[in-house]
Amino acid sequence: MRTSILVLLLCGGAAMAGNAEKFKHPHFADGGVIRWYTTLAEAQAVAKKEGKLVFIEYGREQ
Amino acid sequence: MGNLAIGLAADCDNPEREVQQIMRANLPGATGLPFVGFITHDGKWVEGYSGFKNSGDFQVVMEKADKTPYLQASKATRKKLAGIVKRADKAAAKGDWKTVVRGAKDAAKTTGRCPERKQLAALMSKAHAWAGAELKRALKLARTSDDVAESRKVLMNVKKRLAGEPDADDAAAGLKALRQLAKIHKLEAAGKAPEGIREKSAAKFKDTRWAAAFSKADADEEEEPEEEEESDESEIEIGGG
Repeated sequence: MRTSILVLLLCGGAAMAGNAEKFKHPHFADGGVIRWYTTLAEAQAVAKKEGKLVFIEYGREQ
Repeated sequence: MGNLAIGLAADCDNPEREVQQIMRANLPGATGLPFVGFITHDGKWVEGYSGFKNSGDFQVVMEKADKTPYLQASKATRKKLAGIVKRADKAAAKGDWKTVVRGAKDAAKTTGRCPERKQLAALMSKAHAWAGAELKRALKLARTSDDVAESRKVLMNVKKRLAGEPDADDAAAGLKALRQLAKIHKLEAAGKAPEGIREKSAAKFKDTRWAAAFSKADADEEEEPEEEEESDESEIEIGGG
């Protein structure tokens, strides 16, 4: 499940430089295409600050 | 994708109650993992789906999410930003980058996409280009003169006008290097400079542009070609403000 999302994200845009390690997905490496958080409150706070949406990926590792 | 959204990796076996509620409410009856959704920062549903999607179909979802009106700046925000852009534009024409930076900081307190925000970003790019050219000039002055005063003046100006920006931090590092360089000049003039003092000082600034300040250069020495693509610095007025 996670792998399919990874492929889609990589299709969706170029990887961001820097901070990829800090904000990586807990289960897969997307090369920093998007910054990942693990709590809704954190993700919403950053999205608000940066004028972005929150992309929820709701699944399991395997 | 990174320009559109912040990711939330939610574990379906141990979800936050609110996330679970959002997914259940907006993808009723969904069974195939993963559940995927775009929401606003305050929880409004934008787009989503459950189960596998190929890259083309995912792209369609992403494009729909990207067009959501929720991401657009409000009229009030646009009006405020228009005023900031007007002031910043006039300031930029005079080389008053401090006003441009202040405007960008005020704009950062607002949210929403709009042309005014892009205009401000373009003005900030000009400010950074100006600062980059000035930092380069300061380094050249430091390398070609036995007096750091002129170089220091240039760096102080960058630090002041781009306060809060990475360029100001770069200028501050340069000022630190100049203080060391001034000490070296004094020691050299007195014939008391320890052997290798320039090399040792340069090592302290390793991986910064300022390491080069400790190696002398002729004023007419040709500069190394830029690795990065040059911006339209020649069109940017330097000085004033």
